[in-house]
Amino acid sequence: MRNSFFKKSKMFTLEMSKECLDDPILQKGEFFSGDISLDSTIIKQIYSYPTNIDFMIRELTIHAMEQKAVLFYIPSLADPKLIDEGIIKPLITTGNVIEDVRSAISASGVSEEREINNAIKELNTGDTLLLVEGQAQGYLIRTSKAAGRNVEKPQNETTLLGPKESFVEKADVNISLIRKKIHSEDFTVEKMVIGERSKNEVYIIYNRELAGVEVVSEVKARIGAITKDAVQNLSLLVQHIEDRKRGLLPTILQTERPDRAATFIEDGYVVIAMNNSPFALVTPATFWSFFHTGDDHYLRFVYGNFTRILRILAMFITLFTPSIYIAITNYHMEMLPTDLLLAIAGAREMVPFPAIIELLLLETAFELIREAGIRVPVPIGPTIGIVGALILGQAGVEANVFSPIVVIVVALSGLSSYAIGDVNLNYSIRIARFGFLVAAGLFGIFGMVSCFIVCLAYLTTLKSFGVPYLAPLTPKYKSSDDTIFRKILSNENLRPGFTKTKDITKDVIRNK
Amino acid sequence: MRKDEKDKVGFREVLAIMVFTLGLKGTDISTVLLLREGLNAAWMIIIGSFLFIIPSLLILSSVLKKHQTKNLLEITQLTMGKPFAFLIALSLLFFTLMNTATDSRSYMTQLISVNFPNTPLFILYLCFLALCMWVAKKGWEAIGSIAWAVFPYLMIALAMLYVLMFKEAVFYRIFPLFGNGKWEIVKASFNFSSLFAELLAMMYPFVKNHKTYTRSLYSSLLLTVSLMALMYLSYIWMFDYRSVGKITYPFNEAIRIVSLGRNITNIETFFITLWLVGVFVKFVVYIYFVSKIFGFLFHISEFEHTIIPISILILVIGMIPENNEISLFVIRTNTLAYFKYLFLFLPPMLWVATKIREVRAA
Repeated sequence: MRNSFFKKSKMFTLEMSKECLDDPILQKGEFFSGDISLDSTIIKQIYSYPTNIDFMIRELTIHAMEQKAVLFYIPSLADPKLIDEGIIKPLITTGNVIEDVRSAISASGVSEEREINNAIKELNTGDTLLLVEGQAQGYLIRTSKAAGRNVEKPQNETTLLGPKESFVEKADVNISLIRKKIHSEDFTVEKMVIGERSKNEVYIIYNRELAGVEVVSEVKARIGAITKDAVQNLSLLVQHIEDRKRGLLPTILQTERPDRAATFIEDGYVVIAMNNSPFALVTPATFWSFFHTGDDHYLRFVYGNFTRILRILAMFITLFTPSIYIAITNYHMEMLPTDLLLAIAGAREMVPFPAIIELLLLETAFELIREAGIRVPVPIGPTIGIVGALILGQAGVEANVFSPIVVIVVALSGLSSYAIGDVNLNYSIRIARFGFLVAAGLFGIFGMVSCFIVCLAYLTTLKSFGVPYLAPLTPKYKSSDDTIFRKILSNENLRPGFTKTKDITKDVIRNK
Repeated sequence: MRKDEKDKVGFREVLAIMVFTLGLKGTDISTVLLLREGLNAAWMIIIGSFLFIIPSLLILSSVLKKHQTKNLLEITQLTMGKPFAFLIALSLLFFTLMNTATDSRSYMTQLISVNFPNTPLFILYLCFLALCMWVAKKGWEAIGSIAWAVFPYLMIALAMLYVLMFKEAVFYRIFPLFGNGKWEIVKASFNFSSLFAELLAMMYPFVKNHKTYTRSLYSSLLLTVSLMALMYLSYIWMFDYRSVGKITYPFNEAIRIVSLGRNITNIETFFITLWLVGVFVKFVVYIYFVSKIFGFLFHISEFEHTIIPISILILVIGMIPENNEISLFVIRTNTLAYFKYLFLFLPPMLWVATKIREVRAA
């Protein structure tokens, strides 16, 4: 049966290719002929017009030149109003003699193109192609306007005092959001095209005078090395260019805040933007860039550091509370005061499972609620909370499946995990928590310490684009030491040295 | 990372490594030996043996300065010829291997007898060494980074422990000041002078430059000696000389006695956790050095590959002694007694040999 299936599929492909062979194939590097009927036939064939309805051809006669002309565009990507007002209207209505087509068009961006292939590339991004009889070249007019949403508030990285705008799915909007914070001629945006078929554009943004040469070339090399038909957006791009693809920890920061991206560019990092992604990538990323949030620097020194303390505390609580509970109740009972020990023992009296099973069950249940909460349709969202809290917590305890202490432990660690802002770090910590839990169940405190050493060894050997993950804590680099705590702003006068930035001191220039 | 930075660590990392590897000796079973010898003057033995070892360390430092980028064994080979260097390396390997094996075993026994009475020794020991091996294979930079990353927290915990121990202390117990007598202390100091010598010499080629080496060497030694002396003093203040000689694990007893107010009376697990972190780092460093010496001895330039067989060897040797007493009183006393001469006299010999070579060359 399998054989017959393969035979069928072979026959099918053969038939298809025969059909294709009948068509005249466009040779690479073919030029416009100047004969618009010939050229438009080729273009029509490429876009399989008129089968393909998402392609428009507008033929017109330019009276001022006494020539025929034809316009090609993709209506779903181009702005019809701009085509009407900026191209067709001036060409038809002008009374003066047209000598140069470029001067007759009132749209802002016009370029000439002789190769058909290149013109097709631009046509695919929403530009309009204008061919005039007798001219062996096409005019590409910038008319692209894809559907999308407006700049809105950030969803994941909320701040109290920071700017309230976030990236959207359009790369040019995103670049302008960053650009408006950095008024400098050194601000550089480079474009790379990846994906053999869908030709996705990737924008590499950096400050020419600050970003380290090694990092920029490494980023370009990694993006250039991608061999894929299509890389639709940044979330997929990350997985092609990150350092350890199977590792637990993220090595590239994804941020949806333009202000954070701008700050990173000013520190000599490299930012990557792309269409269809409401965030930007920051490379290289260290552990601290995931740990920090935008608010840390917008709040005053004391408040900012206070939130940092809370966050590191939350991180440790998330990681260690369940495993500490297991280690202490199973191996180191003497640690607890007698009253508390009796309370725990009393609460566990009717529970049929060992503590580790009980905890694993409830932790899994919590993770399930959490995952379901992300996927659940918004109108029935509150139901999840009720089901989770009431049925799992209350009823589980009353049915003597869980002890109340375990509910407290799981709730505490689950709640604390929300204080870790970055999505990727959040996931890795939540997964690592289970490792600690199992280790504590096997070896008590010894298992936890072993697990901790493993994590630490992993952290110290991990590198993101050649930069050690724990830098500048260890190994030491010249920097403003923005790790667990931050300094007063006026003392933060060094750029992080681990990015191999060209200019490590932040210049002090007298304000005018 | 730049190429030339590979396998080199800075001041902070060396400091952390040295404080861990040496300072932990104030908490393990070797305290029993010292307290038995010195009674309530045991803390002086620490300082005394440090003073004994200082001249040879100074000489060693000057020798190392002449031969930049070479380690102790390479210098020996250069100045005294291959056979002698082979002999020295062989004895050094023997010493460090025995030391690592018996030490790690005794740490595990200590952990089991106090905190994990129901866990089988072999399983715990196997897990411990397997993990140490895995971390050691990550390389010297990673070890240094790990040591520094945990160093501040361990120091904070240690400071906390000292404060809590002072609450339990009776300071008169320090008297009579010289314990068994002044001469006894000097003798014991000489006997234990290899306490501080083990790794210092081997550390050199792994440090960025000579200045960093000397700076980290002196500061870490000073820090360690003062911490250890204070630790011994605290034992004596807490237990008095009569009982301190009879306690097997003074450190574990001490952390069991201290308490945080009236409600939280048992915080020993907290200290054991941080102590274990230090122990891990210590044996990672030891295993790395044993394989380094092994690599030198048998001309294996990629000595990291020997870490796995050496760890297995350590496990086998460590499992041989029947109990902690044998490992302590038979093996350790003897190794300490004989190998102190190596550390005391090798640096001066090297210095003389270097001088002779210089004179000849001139």
